[in-house]
Amino acid sequence: MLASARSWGIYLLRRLVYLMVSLLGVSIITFSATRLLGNPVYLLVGTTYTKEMVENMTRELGLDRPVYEQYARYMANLLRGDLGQSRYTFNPVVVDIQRRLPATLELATYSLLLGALWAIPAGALAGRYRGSLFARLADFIARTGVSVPNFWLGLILIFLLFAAFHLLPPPLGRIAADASPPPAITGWYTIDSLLAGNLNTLWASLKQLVMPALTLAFTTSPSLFQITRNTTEAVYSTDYMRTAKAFGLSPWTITRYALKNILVPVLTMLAMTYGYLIGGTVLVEVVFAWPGLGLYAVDAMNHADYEPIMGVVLLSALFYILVYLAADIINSMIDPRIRMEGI
Amino acid sequence: MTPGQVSVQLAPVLHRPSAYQRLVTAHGALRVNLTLGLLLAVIALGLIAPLLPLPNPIKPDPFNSLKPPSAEHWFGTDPNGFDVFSRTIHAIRTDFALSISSVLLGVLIGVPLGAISGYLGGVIDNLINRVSEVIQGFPQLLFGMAVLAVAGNTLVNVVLITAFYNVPVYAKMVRSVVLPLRDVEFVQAARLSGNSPLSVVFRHIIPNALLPVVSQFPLSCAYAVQMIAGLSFIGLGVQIPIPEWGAMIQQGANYVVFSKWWPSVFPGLALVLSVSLLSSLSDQLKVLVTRRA
Amino acid sequence: MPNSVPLLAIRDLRVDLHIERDVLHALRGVTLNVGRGDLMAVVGESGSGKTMTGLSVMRLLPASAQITDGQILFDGTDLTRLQESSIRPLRGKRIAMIFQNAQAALNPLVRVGDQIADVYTRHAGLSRQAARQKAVEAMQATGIPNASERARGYPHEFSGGMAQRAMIALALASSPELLIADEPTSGLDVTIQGQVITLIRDVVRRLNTTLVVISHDIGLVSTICNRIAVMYAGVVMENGTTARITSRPANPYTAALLRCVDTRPTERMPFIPGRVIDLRQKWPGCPFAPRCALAQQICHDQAPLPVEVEPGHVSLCHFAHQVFEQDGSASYDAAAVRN
Repeated sequence: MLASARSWGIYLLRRLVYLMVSLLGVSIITFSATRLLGNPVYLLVGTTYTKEMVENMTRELGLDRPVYEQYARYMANLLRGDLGQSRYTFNPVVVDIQRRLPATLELATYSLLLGALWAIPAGALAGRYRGSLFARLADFIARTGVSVPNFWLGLILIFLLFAAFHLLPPPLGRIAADASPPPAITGWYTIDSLLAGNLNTLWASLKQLVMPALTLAFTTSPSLFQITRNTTEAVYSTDYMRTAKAFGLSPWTITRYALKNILVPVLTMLAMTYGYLIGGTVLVEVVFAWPGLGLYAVDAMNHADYEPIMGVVLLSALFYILVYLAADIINSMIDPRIRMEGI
Repeated sequence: MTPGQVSVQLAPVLHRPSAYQRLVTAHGALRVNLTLGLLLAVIALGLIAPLLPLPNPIKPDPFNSLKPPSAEHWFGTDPNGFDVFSRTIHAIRTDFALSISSVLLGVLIGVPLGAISGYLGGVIDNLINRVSEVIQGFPQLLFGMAVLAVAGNTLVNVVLITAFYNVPVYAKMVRSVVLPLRDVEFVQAARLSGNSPLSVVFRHIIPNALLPVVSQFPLSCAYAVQMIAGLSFIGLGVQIPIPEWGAMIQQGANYVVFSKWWPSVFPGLALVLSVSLLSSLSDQLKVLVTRRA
Repeated sequence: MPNSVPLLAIRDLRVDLHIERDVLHALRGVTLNVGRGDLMAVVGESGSGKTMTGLSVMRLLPASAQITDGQILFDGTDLTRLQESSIRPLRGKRIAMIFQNAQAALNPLVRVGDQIADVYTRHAGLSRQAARQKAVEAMQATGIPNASERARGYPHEFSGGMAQRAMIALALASSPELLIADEPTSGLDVTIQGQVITLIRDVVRRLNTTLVVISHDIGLVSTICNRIAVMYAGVVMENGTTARITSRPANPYTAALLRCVDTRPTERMPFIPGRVIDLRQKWPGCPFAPRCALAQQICHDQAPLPVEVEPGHVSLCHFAHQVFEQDGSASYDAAAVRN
């Protein structure tokens, strides 16, 4: 037992090192993009400037220093949590991000849940009963989900569910215009409403969530569906499942045996989807006027303010890496073979 | 026949089926023909668009704005008075040209990169690998926004950033093909006969990677179209009045709540059609790759 | 020893296998009787249909395979006629099957001890605790060292031989009336093979289980089995006691096979010329005819009927008696090698 605990420890250490390296890589890429692609001085100084202003700003930003020194400064700022200043909200980017994060997080989480609720059971069934009518139908839905642009789908839903059939309220953000948001504890309107015991607000928030979450769920669930389906089919045709059947184990035991093996790739894909969603809500937030990180980045862009965008990029990349790491760790607990592999 | 000799009956030399024939065998004539046919039709339509008797796609007509589909305007008119049908057709040129050139650029950089990475191995390989992985985990749209904000909102930059995202995909693909081939006999023979490592890579190894690259290409174009349309939707890349599906959807977006659906819906349908045709083609081509062995 | 009513009687079993657009006639009329208490070996080359036969009895054929004709009578019941729901209670309880490549045949994410315990829980009705304890005992009985520690391990931590022992422990746990072992020693070190096959015999004796061992290694299985059935291209060519078949084969294929495994020094290495027939075709005659030194026109035109050359010894050959009289190997030597 000691041997397996040790191997696990080594594995965790490896993963953490990998995390550091990835974060480093991300920061290098974002740094390169800002410093090397454009001249931030001109971006920050505005449209009217004097030579003196440019020189001052250059010195202030440390752009006259060698590249590695600039990078060190950049990293130092990052580690302190300094992501720069937004020129149009006049807040530090970190503060803005803190305020906007819950909205995106709430939307992303519900989208993931909705997508997984459909994709995983459907994928399992489609994998078991290949060639069935259900499998072909589900496959068609998945293919459509991949081909449809999410911003367009959002508009379609708005047209059908709001404009044409008046089933849902207008897409004006997280809560209806005449309602007020619940007292902020987590920043999630749904959870906060529950905590405050206000069912009306809960209902109002949920109604606003339906269309954007449905849009995102529909366009991000296909990969979940496919991985579940392919893995289920593969698992059920393995030798070990045949052995289980050959020894007459109960249907529940056989399902349990299969699920364990199906879980690992599916969990990985769940993590990848969640990680993607945090950075991927941009267009949907624009369509539904959802005040999250995506809309924040777009607003910044429209104000020629690039630091907020970079801040959001960094946060999304960080989130993705963390979620992926979490899934990896959980997987290593389920599948002992993973602990023995290299990075 | 001396004892101990076994006569071997040679199989008759088969005519090697063409790629098209193999596709049809694998997927059925209907599916292959439908996909190829429609795709070629769409591209052809885009190519001849300026020659067709369509209303001018970039001439605004403010008196005719937001008219619903009719005999005169098949897809109706948008808020600026442009004919939506004409613009949808003309946008084929924009979207396909941008996406194909982006992916092509990504392939041209990624393929040699992956080949070198796989062939040389070691630190370089590791480095390129790590960088590829990091890029693939990036929030693509957001980062694209950031880059365009910093480097300038031009079409060239849109193509460049989209190409950038394709580089790791093809580098990885080629690397995985190159790795097992590194020590295979004919490569060693080429090396021994005095060819430089670089020429070995280019003349002997890369041709083997071509088939997977070709089968992946349409799918990458599909993703590229979606990215470009997405960027245009938020105002990056294509500017008015150039017809582009994402931009067109954006122009009609504010009017959907008023039930004026046609300026946004039709370009979207065109997007969906193009993307599904491209990914379908890629799917079908994958069969050619696996049969190779 | 032959019994009046066989435990397992396969009658003219035919199975088709669908691969891509082709139909392979994998089993072309397999007839085989296994009596209670027999240790029967089913031997043949790859493609002979021996594994298919085993899977058919268990009704574990892949979806691409279908039983097209014939009967599989287990204790009087025709298994081919039963629905899946009626077969399920038999599996593991009355008939069990163990497979080759045991590491791949065990669930990689479930502890080995738990997998054995699950069989105990299912068929012996034991509690979780008791089953776990029995599982360790079973592993000890099959010669796995440090059984209680090993039980908490996973299949990938087991060597090939040890995994096969774990597989046999599964058979111990289920204690069936009939055990089918599909190539239990292939892939294992030669030194381990003997141990494993002997272990199987001991387990089967201890449980009073009837055994059918499927193998391509006729030499190995003849060390434990009392009866042998030789299969070729989907039919049983010869069937009889080990002693008689190995000393006095009545079928040219069996004779040729025995010559190939004969370790006595010879002038040149024996082999069987030609290739197995195309299983996609239906051949009117004997499937071995294209390669047989004794083949005459009738062998190509007409399928041979089973001939009983002596009590309990059946051969599928038009010239079974002649082969039997001439004491097998000699007749093969004398004939000219055919194209």
